[in-house]
Amino acid sequence: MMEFFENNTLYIVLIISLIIWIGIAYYLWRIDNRLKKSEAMLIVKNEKKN
Amino acid sequence: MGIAVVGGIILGLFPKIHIPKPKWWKIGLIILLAIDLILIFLPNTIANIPYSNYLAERGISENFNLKIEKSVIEKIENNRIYIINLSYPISASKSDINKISSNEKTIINITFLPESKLFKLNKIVSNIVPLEYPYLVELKERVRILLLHVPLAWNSVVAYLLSMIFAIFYLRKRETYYDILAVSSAGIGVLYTILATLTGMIWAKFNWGSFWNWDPRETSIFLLLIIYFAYFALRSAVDNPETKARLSAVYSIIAFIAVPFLIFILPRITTGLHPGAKGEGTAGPVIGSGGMMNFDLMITFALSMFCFSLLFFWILNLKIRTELVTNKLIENN
Repeated sequence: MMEFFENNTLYIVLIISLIIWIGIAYYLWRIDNRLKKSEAMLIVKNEKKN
Repeated sequence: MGIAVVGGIILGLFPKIHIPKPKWWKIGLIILLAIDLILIFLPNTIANIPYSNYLAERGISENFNLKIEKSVIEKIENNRIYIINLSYPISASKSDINKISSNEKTIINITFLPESKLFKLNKIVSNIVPLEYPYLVELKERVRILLLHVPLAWNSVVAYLLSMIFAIFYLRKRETYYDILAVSSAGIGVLYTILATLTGMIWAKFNWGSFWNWDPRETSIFLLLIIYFAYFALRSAVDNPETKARLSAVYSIIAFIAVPFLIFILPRITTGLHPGAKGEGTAGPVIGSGGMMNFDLMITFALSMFCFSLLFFWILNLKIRTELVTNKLIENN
């Protein structure tokens, strides 16, 4: 098992980095979508007020 | 390189700093950064023949990769491969010799044995990505730090520059919008500086032996962090929004004066451990004698600069929009 990790270190680091990046990208994407909804709601509220 | 840096900033600001990024923009960044990570970690580090001779002359017994072409094989005798200009022969098994002599180019992993005065072939290495990074005994696989750490540090400078520009705009126009841009930019700048410091610390542990050495570069980044932490301390200490924005805008302009000095000048004029310091000699084949970076490294480095710029502008865009929405909600209530 240890030998496998020693021989494939860079592949393991790459896979972990890719997983972290996918996680960050998904998180940013979700914030972006939620922000879009909040911005749209604010616009509707302001229109109703006026 | 210049195209990557300027292109990253221009495309990062597209369509406007506070307007949501289009879908193609975000998908493009996600794919490009994934490709960038593959190009950072998959290519092999490879030594050239003069550097292999240099290691052998000093009796350094380390595993490293060497690329040999069919045309440079001088002769094969008694399970030993003699390479033109390589000081010592390579000892290998018959099956490996057959593989090497049948391929046009082969990457082999070898170790110099000082007592036998020959290189021992450990294994034949497969090359998945058509890029090769230079091998340097002081850096080994750690050369890849350049492709993560430097783009993070560079984009933190861009962030502080933007923060200063928006601070000037605020002082001229007195609109809260510019204050939000300035503070968001400085915030992401601090995040990138912390990430650059952390990646540098991990590298330092394995290259210099400890996480923190008070090297001039480390000291200057520490001072920079303190300066920008003080910026946020100042903002939180003032209650009146107008006074807060005015004071922090003036502080941001003064703070940026220290940035070029702390990042570009001080670590270069003083002797230190960090590559690029005065009298530091470990740049080797990474930065050649002409001052040019290894071409393959340069390709990934340019892509990294571009991707990390885009990522910075995406996070900045989200931060600005969050602040704008919060501000509007406060105004409405």
